[in-house]
Amino acid sequence: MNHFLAAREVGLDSPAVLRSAVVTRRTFSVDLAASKEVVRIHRGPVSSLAIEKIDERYILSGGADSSIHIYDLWGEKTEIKTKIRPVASVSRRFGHKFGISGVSWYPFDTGMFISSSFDNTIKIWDTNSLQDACLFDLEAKVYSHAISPIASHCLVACASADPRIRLCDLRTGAFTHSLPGHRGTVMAVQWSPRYEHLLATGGSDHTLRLWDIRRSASCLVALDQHNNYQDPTSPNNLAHNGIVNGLAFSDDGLLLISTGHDERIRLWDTMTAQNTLINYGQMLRNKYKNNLTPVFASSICSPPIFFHPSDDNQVLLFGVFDGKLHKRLQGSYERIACIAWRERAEELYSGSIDHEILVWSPSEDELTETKPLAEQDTWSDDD
Amino acid sequence: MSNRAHVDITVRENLRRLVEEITTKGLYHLDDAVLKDIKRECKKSDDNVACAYELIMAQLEKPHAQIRYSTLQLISELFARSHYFRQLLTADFPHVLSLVIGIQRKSLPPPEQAAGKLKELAIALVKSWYEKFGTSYKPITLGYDYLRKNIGIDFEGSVSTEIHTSRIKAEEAKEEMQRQLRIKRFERLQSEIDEEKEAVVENLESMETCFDILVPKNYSATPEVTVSQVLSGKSNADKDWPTLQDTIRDYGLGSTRYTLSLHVRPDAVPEGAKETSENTVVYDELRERYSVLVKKHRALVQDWLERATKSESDEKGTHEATVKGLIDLRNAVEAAKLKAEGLGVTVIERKTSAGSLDDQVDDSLFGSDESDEDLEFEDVKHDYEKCKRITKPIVSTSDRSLPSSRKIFPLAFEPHMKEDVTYNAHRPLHHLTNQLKAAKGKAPVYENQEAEAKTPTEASPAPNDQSETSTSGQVQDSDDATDGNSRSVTPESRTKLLKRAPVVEWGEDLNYWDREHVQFNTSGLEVHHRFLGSGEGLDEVPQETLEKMRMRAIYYTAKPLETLPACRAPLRNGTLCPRRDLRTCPFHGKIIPRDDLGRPLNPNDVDEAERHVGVDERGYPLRRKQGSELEHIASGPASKDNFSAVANASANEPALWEVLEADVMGALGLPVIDTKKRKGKRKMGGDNSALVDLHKKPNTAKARLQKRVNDPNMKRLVDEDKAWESRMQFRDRKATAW
Repeated sequence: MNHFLAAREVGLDSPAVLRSAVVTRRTFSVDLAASKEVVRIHRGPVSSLAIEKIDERYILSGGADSSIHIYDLWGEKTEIKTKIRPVASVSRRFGHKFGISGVSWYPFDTGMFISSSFDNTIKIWDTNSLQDACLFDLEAKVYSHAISPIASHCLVACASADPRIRLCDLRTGAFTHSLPGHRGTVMAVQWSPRYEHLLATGGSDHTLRLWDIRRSASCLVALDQHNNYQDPTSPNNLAHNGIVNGLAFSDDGLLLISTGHDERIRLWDTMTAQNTLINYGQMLRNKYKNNLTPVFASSICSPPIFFHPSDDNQVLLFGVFDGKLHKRLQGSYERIACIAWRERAEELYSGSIDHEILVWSPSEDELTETKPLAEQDTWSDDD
Repeated sequence: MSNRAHVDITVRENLRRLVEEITTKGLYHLDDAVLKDIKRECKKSDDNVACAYELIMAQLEKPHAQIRYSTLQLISELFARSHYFRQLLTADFPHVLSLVIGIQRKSLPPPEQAAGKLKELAIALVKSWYEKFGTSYKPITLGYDYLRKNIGIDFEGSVSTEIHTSRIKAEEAKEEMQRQLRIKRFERLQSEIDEEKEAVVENLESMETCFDILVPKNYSATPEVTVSQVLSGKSNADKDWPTLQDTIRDYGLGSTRYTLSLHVRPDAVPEGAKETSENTVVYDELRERYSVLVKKHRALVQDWLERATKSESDEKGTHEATVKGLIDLRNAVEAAKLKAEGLGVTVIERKTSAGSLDDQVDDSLFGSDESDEDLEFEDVKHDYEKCKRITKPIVSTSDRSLPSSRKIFPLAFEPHMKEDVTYNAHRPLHHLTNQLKAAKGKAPVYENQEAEAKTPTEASPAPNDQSETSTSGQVQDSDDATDGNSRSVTPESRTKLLKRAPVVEWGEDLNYWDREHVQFNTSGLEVHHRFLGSGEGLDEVPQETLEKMRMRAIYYTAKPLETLPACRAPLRNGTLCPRRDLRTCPFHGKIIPRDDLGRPLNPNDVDEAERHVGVDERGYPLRRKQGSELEHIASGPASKDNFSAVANASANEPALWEVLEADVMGALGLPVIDTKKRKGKRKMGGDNSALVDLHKKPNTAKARLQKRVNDPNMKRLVDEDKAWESRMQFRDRKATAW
């Protein structure tokens, strides 16, 4: 570290190099936060987390108890620890009937957030009044939804038990159109952060499709794990040998990660629709029919890495390009259902089945000079 | 932890041995010495701690609750000491908890009882760790919250870890329990003392009054010397030393240098205190009081004192005071006893004539109901006189005190049996035999085995008539004695007779040996029969029955089997035939005496032996001359039998190579390889482990039944039965199908 500091001091390195070094180091040292804790408020599994991107202060959590809570990540600091308490909540009485399957912030403003639920609906909420402003009834279980982080079209794409992908327009409060092509439940949906009309979806028919929502024949390509594109949109182009239940675009939108019940992770080049054939090993456990979204760490991190929750109660930290398992984040007592990355603080939040939201933050060893008494060895003399 | 500790292999091996040893003992407390060794190793470096952690986790994974329990105890020891160990453990905390508490759809391994204890300890440990380390180690907090909120474990109700980890605490708890018991005992004693002390004190006081009446106190005119004066070494007389005149006046002597020795006869009763007609009332009273004191109160006070010393009280003062009071009381009792004895007072024996005195004693001894009962019951004549005649109480009181039904032989302690020379139960046997040896040749000795074939009457021919007559005479004497008549035999002649007396084992017959008239009913109660009416007082045992009763019952005991001589014919493998038959060995013919090489000692037997071997072609190894032996083996198919014979023999006998091997191994100082040893699974934790064997199937009713059902013999029998039945059915069907 000092090397980078010295290089920066004498002007050998650009500021970006130092920043990248610091961020990388911090990201790799992420572990259970000793000094931060999220107050447990959910009465059931935490199924979805979302951190707003504007100043990364508020986190949304949706639970299987159909309640939604908003936490202030700045929290209240005491000497020892920071307690993150909910600042606003939507209880089951006023919210969804069944469990929440996904929550997301309106990308440009914290005044609004979206939630999807297994009660077949998507609701748009006014954050300040905590009233649902708009309701979309999809008449099928909603597994996930996504709103484009860059687009001006304000469309929410829904992955539901219905094979068609429905697009809900927030401006009109109505469905605009449907994207047919999947043959079964759609489990995951993501907007490209690079092209506002590009949509990726994964379903229980083992396919992963890229869509251009502007076209009438909207499906661009069904990604094939063997890179065999004789018929690009053929339902025989299988991305995984199991349900595809997780998708994540890299920050620049050039890479797409997909995960499926075959317990494999695949990295796709979105420009060429090629499987990059990087082997991420067989450490992953992924067997539940829920959306399970991997999360990219900061893009300036080098080597680039991503986090992936695994069914064996841990979060795995993989290198994007080498496929190496860098770290296991252990400490949860139950399956981790969702994670969220707070980029500017290099913090990871994970919601698990045991009702708990855990904070994983860079270790702060260097900051503390003296060990507290509890962390010292206490061998007696006669041993 | 992915990075393995880099530890020296010997250290690692040592740690492995220690950890395995301490965790597979199966005890509920860790071995202190081994624990200390482990701690010492771990203290050396963090690498050792990591190594120990790996080994401990390996033990913790074992599917045996006792091992896990011990391992958890070990963990708690290291956890409390090493930061690094805490880090390692908390990094894997969920897994550890799943192993020791059984979360995450994992259950604890058997045995059930140990599993319960394991869980209890784990919960207690998590609680204590949470309180102590919760702020520093996040996983502990998480685990605690998880257990509390998700699993619903009640940490408030959990027991303290100290019960499990600290032996001292367990002992303290035991001590406390015992203390409570002692306190309770003391309370009981206190109430008892409160109830009965008054009687004792009153008795003592009245005795004291009697003494006062009988022996006037010696009030000395001289000024008393106080204790303080004695201590300070001063006396009143210090001021003016006594003059010679004074001395002479006081003591009648001119000097104090004379040595005077006064002999007081201890049995002397003071002149004024002799029992006369005047003070007999006082003496009676004193006697009565004395009896109560000796018989009852003395033992009672002693008992109290013993119990008091064994008990304890919350307030130390009361306990001490009680003990002190009891000691005083005992001293007073002893003093009173001495005084009474000094006056020649003895314990009142219960007299047959129920005098007023006796009644009172009875009352005090057996409660006041006795006198009422006396009215209802007829007085049975007590053969007190007879009892009195037993000069020496030979039988120990403990035997005596047993109820007659509990005694080994009910009549053993009856007074008239004492006189029976044939009954010698009270004497030690060796004493008896010594005596017998001394008297050898004078009187026949009937010991167990010698006497068993004959009744004493038939087959105890006395060496001379005199002994016979004296024996019967003596028996007669004892009979006389029971009748209350005077004895004709003097002690000297008795001992003489005893020397010659035959000794036979006691039997019921001896009781009736010399009895002519034996009554059926000795209870004194009239027996009334429903049909035959009441007896006429002639309820005697008839003569013929009496004779039968005099017969001795003898139980036949078989002679122990003597060991038969071995055949000892030489075998082909160089050993001798070990068969033991009565007369003939089936392989080597008649059993004849042989020397160490198996050759017949008696040359006459040789021919017969040879002949027999010639006849016997197959079977066990044959005896042949060395030369023909080889021939025989080489010649044709007949030799096969011999080979098989050799094989048969070697199935039991160790083969030559085995003998050689054992010798070689012994010479090399190596352990002999036991081929017969079954290569069973290595038992966990060695032989001295208290681990429950999980592989052993429980001996349930079902298992036992299963064993019976699966018994091949049983199956065969059943199959045979079934086959027979079906055959019969078939036959019957054939028979009727015409």
